[in-house]
Amino acid sequence: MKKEIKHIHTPGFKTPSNYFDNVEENVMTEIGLAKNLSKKSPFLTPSSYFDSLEDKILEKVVSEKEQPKVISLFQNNVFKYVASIAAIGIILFSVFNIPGEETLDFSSIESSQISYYVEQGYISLSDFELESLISEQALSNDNPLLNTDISKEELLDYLANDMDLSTYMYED
Amino acid sequence: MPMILKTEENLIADLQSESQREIAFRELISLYKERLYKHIRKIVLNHDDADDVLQNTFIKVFRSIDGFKGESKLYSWMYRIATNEAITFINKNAKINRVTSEEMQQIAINNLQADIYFEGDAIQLKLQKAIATLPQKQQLVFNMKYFEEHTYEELSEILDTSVGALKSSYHIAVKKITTYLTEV
Repeated sequence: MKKEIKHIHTPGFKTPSNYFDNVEENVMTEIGLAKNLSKKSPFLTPSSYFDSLEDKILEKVVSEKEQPKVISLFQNNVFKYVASIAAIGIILFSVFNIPGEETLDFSSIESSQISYYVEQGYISLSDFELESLISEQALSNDNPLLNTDISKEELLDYLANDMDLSTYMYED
Repeated sequence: MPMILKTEENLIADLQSESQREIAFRELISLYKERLYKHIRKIVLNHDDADDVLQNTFIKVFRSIDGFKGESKLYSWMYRIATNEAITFINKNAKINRVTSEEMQQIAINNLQADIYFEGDAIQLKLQKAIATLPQKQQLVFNMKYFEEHTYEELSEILDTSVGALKSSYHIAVKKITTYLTEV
C-alpha cells in the first residue's frame, strides 16, 4: 500500500476551466454588499399565518372540484312537448294578432331616418350594394363635393401633417 | 416518532393519484409554503398581496399537477409558477390602475415604510428601493442569489437562463445596487 501511495503526486481533483479568473471579483462583490447589509429579511408575517394556510387552500381547491349538481328541468319528455307547443302558440299569436290595420311602407319613413340607420351600422351593406343603391344623380358634376378645388399646397400639407400613414402601411 | 420523508418521485405519484391527492397536496403545501411565500413577498412586497399570489400558486399547482412530467425538479417547477403568478399580479394591478408595472412597484415601495409588516431599518429600505430600480429579471436574479442563496445551477433551472447569463446579470445588479447605496 505504501509503495502505491509513493507514486501518487497529485490529488486528482479537477476545477472547471476559468474558475480562478473570477474568484477575486466574486468574493469582493459579496464582501462589499455584506459590509453594509444584513441578509435578514425585513418582511414580517402575521402570527399564525402559516398555521392555517393548508386548510385555506385545500378548502378552495376542494370546493372547486365539487361543482353543484345541475338537474335539468327538461328531463321529462312530456314537459318538453308542452313547452314547445306553448312557445309556438305565443309566436303565432304575436304574428297574427297585430292591432289595427296599419301597414309599413318605406315611403312613410324619412330619408334622414334611413341614412341615420345606415350610419349607425344597423344595416351592413357592402361597397357593391351601396354603389347600386346610390343614384347616378348623386354623383353628377353638380355635386358640390366633387367640385371642390384643392390646391397643391393644401394637398401636400394634408399628406405631411394629417394623414395617418400607418393605416395604409399595415393593411393586408 | 421520526417523520419519514417521501422521495420526490413518491410525492409526485401521490399527487397524481386520485385517492392520495389531497393528503399529498397538504404535505406539499406544508413543505414549500414558507420558501415560496418569501420568494413571492420579495416581488410583490406587501403581505396581503403575497398571500393572494401564494394561494393562486398552489391552486395552479393543484390544477396542473397531472401534466407535470418530471422534466425539472418539483420545487423548480413550483418556483417558476410562483414567479409568473407574482409578475402577472403586478401587471394586472398596473393595468387596473392605468400605470406601468414599474410605477406599480414604485407605489408598493413608497408604501413600505408605513407597512406594519416591514421592519427594515433605513439601509434595508434603501436596498429595497435600489432593487426596484433594476429591470425585472435582474431583480429576480439578485433576490434569489443574494437573499435566497440559490446556486447558479438552481437559478438556471428555475429561470430557464444559462449560468453565464445569470452570473453576468447578478454582477451587473450588484454593481448598480452598490452605486445606488453609496451615491443616492
